[in-house]
Formats: sequence, C-alpha cells, structure tokens
Amino acid sequence: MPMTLKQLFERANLLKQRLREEEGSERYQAWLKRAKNVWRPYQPKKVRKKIAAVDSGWNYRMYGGFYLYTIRAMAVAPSSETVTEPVVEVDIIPMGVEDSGIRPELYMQGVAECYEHDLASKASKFSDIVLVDGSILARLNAMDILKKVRLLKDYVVYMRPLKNARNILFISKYSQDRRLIRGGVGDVYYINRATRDIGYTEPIISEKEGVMTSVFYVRLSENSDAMHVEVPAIVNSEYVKSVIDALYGTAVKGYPYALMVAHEMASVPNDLMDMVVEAAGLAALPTAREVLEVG
Amino acid sequence: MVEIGIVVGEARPERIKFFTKEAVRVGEFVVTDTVDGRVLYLVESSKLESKLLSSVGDYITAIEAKEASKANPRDVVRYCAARAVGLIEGVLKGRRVYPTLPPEPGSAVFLAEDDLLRQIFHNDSREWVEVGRLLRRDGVIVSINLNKVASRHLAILAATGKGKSNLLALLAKETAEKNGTMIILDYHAEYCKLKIEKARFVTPRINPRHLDSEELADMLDIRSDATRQRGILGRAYNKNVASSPNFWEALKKNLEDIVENEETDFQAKVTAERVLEIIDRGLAIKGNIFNTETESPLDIIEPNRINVLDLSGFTEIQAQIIVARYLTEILNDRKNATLGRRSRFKSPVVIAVEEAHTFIPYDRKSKCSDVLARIAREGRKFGVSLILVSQRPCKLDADVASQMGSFAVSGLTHPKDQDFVMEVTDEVSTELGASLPSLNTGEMILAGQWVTVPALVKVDLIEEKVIGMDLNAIEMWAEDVNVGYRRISTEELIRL
Repeated sequence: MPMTLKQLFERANLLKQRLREEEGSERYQAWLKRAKNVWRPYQPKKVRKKIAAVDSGWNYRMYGGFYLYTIRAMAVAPSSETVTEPVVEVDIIPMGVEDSGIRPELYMQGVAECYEHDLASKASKFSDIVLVDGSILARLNAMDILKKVRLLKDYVVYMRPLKNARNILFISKYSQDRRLIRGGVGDVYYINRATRDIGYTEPIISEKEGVMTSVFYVRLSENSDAMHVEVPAIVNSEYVKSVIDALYGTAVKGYPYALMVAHEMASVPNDLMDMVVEAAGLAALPTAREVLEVG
Repeated sequence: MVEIGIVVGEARPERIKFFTKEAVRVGEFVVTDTVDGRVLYLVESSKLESKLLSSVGDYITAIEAKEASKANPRDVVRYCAARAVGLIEGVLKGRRVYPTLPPEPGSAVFLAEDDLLRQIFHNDSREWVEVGRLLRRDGVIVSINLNKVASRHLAILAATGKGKSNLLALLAKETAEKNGTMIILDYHAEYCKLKIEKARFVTPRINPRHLDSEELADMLDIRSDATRQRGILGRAYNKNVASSPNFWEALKKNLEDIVENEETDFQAKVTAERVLEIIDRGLAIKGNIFNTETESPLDIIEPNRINVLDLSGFTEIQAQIIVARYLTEILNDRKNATLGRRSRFKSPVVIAVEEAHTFIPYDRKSKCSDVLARIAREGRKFGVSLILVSQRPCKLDADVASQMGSFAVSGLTHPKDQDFVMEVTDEVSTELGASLPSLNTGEMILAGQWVTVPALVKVDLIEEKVIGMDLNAIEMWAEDVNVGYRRISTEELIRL
C-alpha cells in the first residue's frame, strides 16, 4: 500500500477514536440533554395549503480565456407545475470575476440566489408557503464578498422584498448552525441523536443586515432527520406548528416533496450542459478538462 | 386514430421508444409516420415507473412517496418500446418492408385501428385458416397460412399447460378439413382421444428384418450395457435369419444352436439362454409391434388422414428407432412421389413430433436425429414438413430448430429456453421474450412465415380436443367408489 494511503487511513482511524471519546464525554451528554429539552413533540394535523418551492441549478464549462455558464431557477408546486415564470441564463462569466479572487462557482451562486429570491417573493403572492433550499442567514453573511464582483447591489434589491415575508421559509438539511445547542458541531446533529419523533424547537430570533430572522428546527416524520428552518420575519411556535401541519402530508423521508421537485426541475446536469454548449456553437472548442486529459 | 404517445430517445428504423399518457400493453399495435410512409409497430415492452418510488429504501418512505407521487403527474413515467412490423402499405399486400429512416423524435404515436388490423390479420383465401384473435383486440381474427406449415416447418415451443397440444389439435383439425395428411408422433398418448372426423389411431408396426442387430436389441429391451447379450444376438442374427420366412423361429434356432454347441463356452451358453428368454418375453409383451411380413411401415398410415401414432408404450430408444424407420420411409416415399414414381403419399405430409427434445436432443445424436435433420433441411423440396412441439426448447438440436420457418411460443420461464427461442428466430426479441412467462394458457406469440406479421394471439380453444388436460383425480376417484363399492340393495343383503 502506498505510504500516503497508509497515512490516510491512520488519520481516519485517529479521527474515529477522537469522535468516540467525544461521544463518551460529559459535555457531549450535556448537549444531547439540551437538544432533548428544547425539542417539542407535536402531533400534526393534515392541513391543505398551497405550497411552492424554489430552487436553482447551475453548471459551467471552462474554456481557454472564458467560462460559459448556465443557470436555471424555478418556483414549482408539488405537481411540477411552475408557479411563476422560470428564469434561465446562459452567458460568459464577466472577465473581472477571476481577477477579484472570486471563484466562478461563487459568482454563479450569487446570481442564482438573486433569481431564487425574486422567484420566492413573486411566488409568495400566489402561495400559502414558499420553500427555498438554503439559509438566508448564511446568504446575508456572505453578501460582502459580492461587492467585489459588483453583484451586491442587485443582491440587496432582490433580498429586500423578503424582509418580513412570513410565508417564505429557507430550509436546510445539513445546517451547521450552532446557535441553539452551542455544541461541538451543528445543532441538527444533536437534535437527530436525542430525538426521533415529529416536533419542533421554539423559534429564536437572529438579526443580520437589518433582516430579522426566526430560526427553528422541525421534523416532519418520525425517525427522519430534522430540518433547519429560517423565516425572514418574527414568528412564534403556533406558526411553526402550522408549518408542520402544512408540510407533514407531502413530506418524503421528512423532506418537503415540493423541494425535491424543484431541485430536479432546476438542476443543470452535464448532459444538458453538453446540449447548451452545442447550441452555443462551442462544442468544437477544447474545454480545460480536455486539455488536462491530453496533457 | 387515437394519439397515445410521443417518440422519444434514440429512434431507429426498426425500433422506437415512446412515452405514453395512459398504459399501453405488450402485444398492442401502434402506428407512426416516417418519411417512407406510415409504419406499423408491435409494442414489445411496456414500463411504468414512479421516479420517486424507485428511489425509496424502506416501507415508511414508500408510503410517504406514494402520497407525494399522487400529487405529481410527472412522477409516473409510462414508457414503451416497439418494433417495426413494416410499412403499412406493404403489410396490407402481405409484404414486410421496413422503413429506411426512423420517425422523427417527437412524432405522434397512434393506436392502430381495428379495421386496419383486421385487413392485416384476417385472410379468407383457401390456404389461410383462423386460429384465434389478437390478444389485445378481441375483435380481430387472426389467420395463419397452412401452406407455410406444410412446407416451411413450425415449432410450437411452450411451457406445460400453455396450449401446445390445443394448437396442434387445431392445426390437425384444419389440416383434416383441407384433406391433408398429418402424422402425430404421440409420445405420451395425449392425442388418443382426439375427436376429429378423419383422425386415425394407430399402433406402430415394425418389421424386425429391417433392423440391424443393435436396433433389434434395443427393440427387445436388451440393456445398452449388456454387451455380451448384444454380442450373442449379433452372432445369431445373420442374413439367413433376415431372409427366413419365419424370422423369430430362425433367430431362436440360431441361439439354441449356440446353447447346444459343445464348443461354446459356458458363459456364452448362459448368455444365449438369457437372450432367448428376452425374445420370448419381448414377443409376449410387445409382439404386436413386430410384423415380419410387412414391406413398409407406411402400410398402416393413411394418406389424407390425421394419423396418431401411439408411442407411449415404448422406451425412449425404441420410440426413436420407430420414428427413424417411419420418417425415413415417408421421406423416401415423398421423394418417389416428386420424381413421379410409385408412392403412397401423393400430396405433402405434415409430421408433428410431440416431445421433440426426446427425438432431437441438443447434446447427443438420437436414433432419429439424422432423419429429422434431413427432413428439416430437405423436406420442403419433397413436401414433408415438421411441427416440432416441445416445452424445453433449449434441449432441442439448434440446427434442426433453426430450420423452422414459423413459431408459436408461450410461457417459457427458463432463461435458457427464452435465449434459445431468440437465437433461432429473430422475430422474438429480448423485450418480447421477457413477456413470455406472463402469457396465460392459450396466449401465444405467433411469428414467422405462417403469419403476416408477428403477433400475440389468443388461440381458439378447440372443442374437439380432449387432450393435454390435467386429469381430474377427484372425479376419477369418486367414480372408483361407485365401481369398487357398488351400493347393495336391501334385497341383496337379505339374500346374502
């Protein structure tokens, strides 16, 4: 076995030991206890609400001298019908982006999020609940970076209508938010180990860039993972219960089905990107990957 | 025409895939347009899939996914693959012409109308006979070309209970109605109650003079490993015996001479005595199949009749010898007829071989392999055709099976059998083959030269057939009660 691999597995083994030790520690037990204390079991009632979900997808190809990118953003109902006009964009990443030290992925993410916010705000007028995949607080925290690529102004414009929007919910399954339990890793880790039933945590309020955001956790079906939810408005536990009632009926493995549909419909897989490249007349140009393969 | 789908994915001239709004069954016929004209396609596979339910890994998630899927009509995908049968214009004239280009992706797919299918599958002319209805269209009668059966051979390959014997009986009935000659080699006495007007039930007769000593040993049930007994029989069975007016006496005399000869060693004497016993036993049990006077075994077979040859009383080897003798004579007779010489059969003869894998096994040469192979190759020229019937096609000699021009296939579950069918006929594709196990009794894929186009057909149940059915044991036992324990009247009891 090559030396590097041997070292790699030794390190992995060391990590395992560290995690075991951590799990046996008193503070770990205290975090679990806290997760159990903040959890409010709830027996949901199925309530029919008009639900929409917003997601975006992007992909890009690197060529000598430029990047071609594609963005799709959609607001859809669980029936796969679009709630508002979807957005698509095919373009070349502005030349200044790389010079500003920003990776193209971050630029596309910034643009895609602008579209998501716009779609969410429009969809909120026709829907009872609009779900957006992600975290508004994380987005607000990262906003400053966009200054470098002159995207901040647009970003703020699209973010503004979300303020106090009580029916727009940002959902993330793999949140690292530690504000509630204040443990070694994200709150959701301890909640998932300490509780298994349907329920929620009381909302806590965070403020960032003038946007008051309620943060809470919900679990929509037993034995599934809890989700981190953010609402850009001040809400109480009755509101949280009404959200569970509305989403509980169509959740799959504890995840809102509308978000699954939005993710699938908005994604830009490689084969679709190949077709875009052909349509843009760039199929003959070697991509950076091909250059690497030849080299 | 009703539009049912849209062509998607990679289309080829001979094969298309299409999405449908409603489910479309395997065996259905659809139509789409190509630059060469309108093309008829046979649906060979039909898939229905929920993307959501395909990705779940546990019961609870499946329940949740079921609810979510109900809300999303796009989640359920109905997907069909169909094979081109030919341009409709050509098919209506009995010609299979394939398009040179596939339909454009996005082309509309229509359900073929009943009227069109009637024109294709039903034929009133003399050589065609009705055998059933399209499986997916009860109103469309399917005819087959009996001339092709009588010239280009047919294989009926189906699992037990799927209607092999019913189809053969139906063909026998139709052949009888056309005044044809058919010989059914009935290995399991399945056809002994065939109620067809021109059916004849015959026990085969064989002239022992026409056999060599090994064949005679087989016919007398001398074990194949009893080399000494076979050797002694070979010594005794010489030319003089073969030409003697009294065959058996002459043969036994030679054996007795061996026993009585002082120079014969003890072992040979004992063996010869044993062979004498075997001959006596054989003649006592199966003596009626030997006829030392008959010139040709064909004497008992009537032209223009359905001759059911009962082979049920014979061992596998004996049956093979008898079949070899009969088929050789039939082929020679038909050769004579073709050459204008004296012959018994003036018109073509159809030979149906039940349990064909017993007579042409794939892994060895049977006593009748050669003659069956010869008929499969040359029979067409002389008006001798085969109908091979088997429930284990993979155990058939592939060379012989590949000479079959037409096929009726159903209910084959073993992958080897399915592969074999696909190997010997290109008209049963992998997709269509996959549907074989799901076919019910009487539902068959008819393919090859005897049909205008391949189709899934519900074969008519022939009323004249009281064969191939499972025995009604309960009924028969109940009858036994009445026979064995006759109800005794009070009067009889008093008398007792």
